[in-house]
Amino acid sequence: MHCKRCERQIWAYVEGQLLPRQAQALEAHLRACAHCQRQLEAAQATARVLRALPRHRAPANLSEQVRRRIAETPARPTLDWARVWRRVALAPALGLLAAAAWWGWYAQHSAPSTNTVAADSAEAFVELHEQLELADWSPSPTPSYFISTGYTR
Amino acid sequence: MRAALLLTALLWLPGGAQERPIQWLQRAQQAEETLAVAGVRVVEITTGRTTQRIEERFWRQGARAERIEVLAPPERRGEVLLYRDGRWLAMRPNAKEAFEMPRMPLQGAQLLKLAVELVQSGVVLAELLPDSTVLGRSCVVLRLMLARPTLKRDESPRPLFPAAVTLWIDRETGLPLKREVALREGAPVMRMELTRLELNPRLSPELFVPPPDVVVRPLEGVYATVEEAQRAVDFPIRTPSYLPAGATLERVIVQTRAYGQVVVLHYRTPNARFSIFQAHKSRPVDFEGKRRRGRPHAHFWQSDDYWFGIVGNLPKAEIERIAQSLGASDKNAPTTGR
Repeated sequence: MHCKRCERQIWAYVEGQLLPRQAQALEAHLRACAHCQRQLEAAQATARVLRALPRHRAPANLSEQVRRRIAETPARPTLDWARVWRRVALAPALGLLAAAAWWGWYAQHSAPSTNTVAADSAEAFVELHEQLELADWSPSPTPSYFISTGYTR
Repeated sequence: MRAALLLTALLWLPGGAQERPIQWLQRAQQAEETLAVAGVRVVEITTGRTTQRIEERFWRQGARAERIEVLAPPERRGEVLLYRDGRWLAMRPNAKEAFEMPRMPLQGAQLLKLAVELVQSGVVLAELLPDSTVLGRSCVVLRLMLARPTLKRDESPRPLFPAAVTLWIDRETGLPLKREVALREGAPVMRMELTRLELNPRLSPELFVPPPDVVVRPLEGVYATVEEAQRAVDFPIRTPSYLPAGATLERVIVQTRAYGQVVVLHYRTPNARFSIFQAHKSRPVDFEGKRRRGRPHAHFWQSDDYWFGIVGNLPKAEIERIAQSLGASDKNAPTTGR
């Protein structure tokens, strides 16, 4: 997996919408890519902000009110719909806008840097050793070459 | 009556012998050594939660020469590997440089030769499974297993052969069209399968050599010795003063991560493999708890400005002894077991 694909899938991953196989591929990439790890952290932080926004419960008789307004003003039904929904959705929409702006700023200011310490997991090194072992039993030399030089570069 | 029995025996023997597992293995070895083939194959290596998938076109002149062009992963598409006169070269697309790869693994035919020897010595058992098809071709399915696959904790390691190897051997040509290798019971696993096959293609000799204007250099990042690797590493590489009997250094890998360089010393003993990882002035590892059953021993610790890790299917006591010889100062360092 390369960074572009990872970035496309990161929100679906945060929201738990990836298939297990896709999630595994993305996690493998994240373990090896500090840049995408930061993208994930930023996405997770944004998701937390969105979840923490206050939620407004719609009035119990909302649908009844909407129908009544439509009946009262048949010539401009869409205007009334918009007015009702705008009130309900204004706060989360503003929150979303602020979060998106912050997300964009964070992502832009977190380009890969050799000064940033990103931890590899112990599992990643166990897997690297196992890959070296397995590659020696491959009839093709390519796995051994890629393990030594990195699958992506 | 006697003549009829003799005739029956003569007719039965060649057919019966053909079905013996060792003879199919020998036939596969011979096919890999001699046949000219081309095609496309997929190799998948699954370790833990990670699967690395490689797709490649290949042209092979028996065991003498081979050309491989990478199709996937997309980041490596177009890279070429060439084998001739006992050496492997790697080339990037349109580059004027080729890189000689040190200490490459055995070729397919050599692996099968090793398997034949181990089956003949009784270390590995061979059995035939029901026939199957690959690419629409009828295949004999041959499974090779270690005679003693299960080890008790800290028992001396078994011979250096995977716990199970399954080969799908083409009945007509003897070529292995599919392979599956399990290092230990269950996982990790290497799978290789041909998705296209061309028999006896016309193979030009130029296919197996780099263009004349290409300069050949040593491949960076993989080294045969610590001394060679040291030239590419910005801290003194530490080597263990204790090694298990018969241990030899297979290769040294230098990887550059976001936090700095990691050096991997990959060793082999007659019975096992192990890797020593080291980094300097950084702590690359977040330890994540217990290893699953069937995984190799792993030991990680810090000493002075160094971070070390040892992973391998050596007895735990041996790993600790190697660690001590490298300078294991952190007594609280986590150790994991099978």
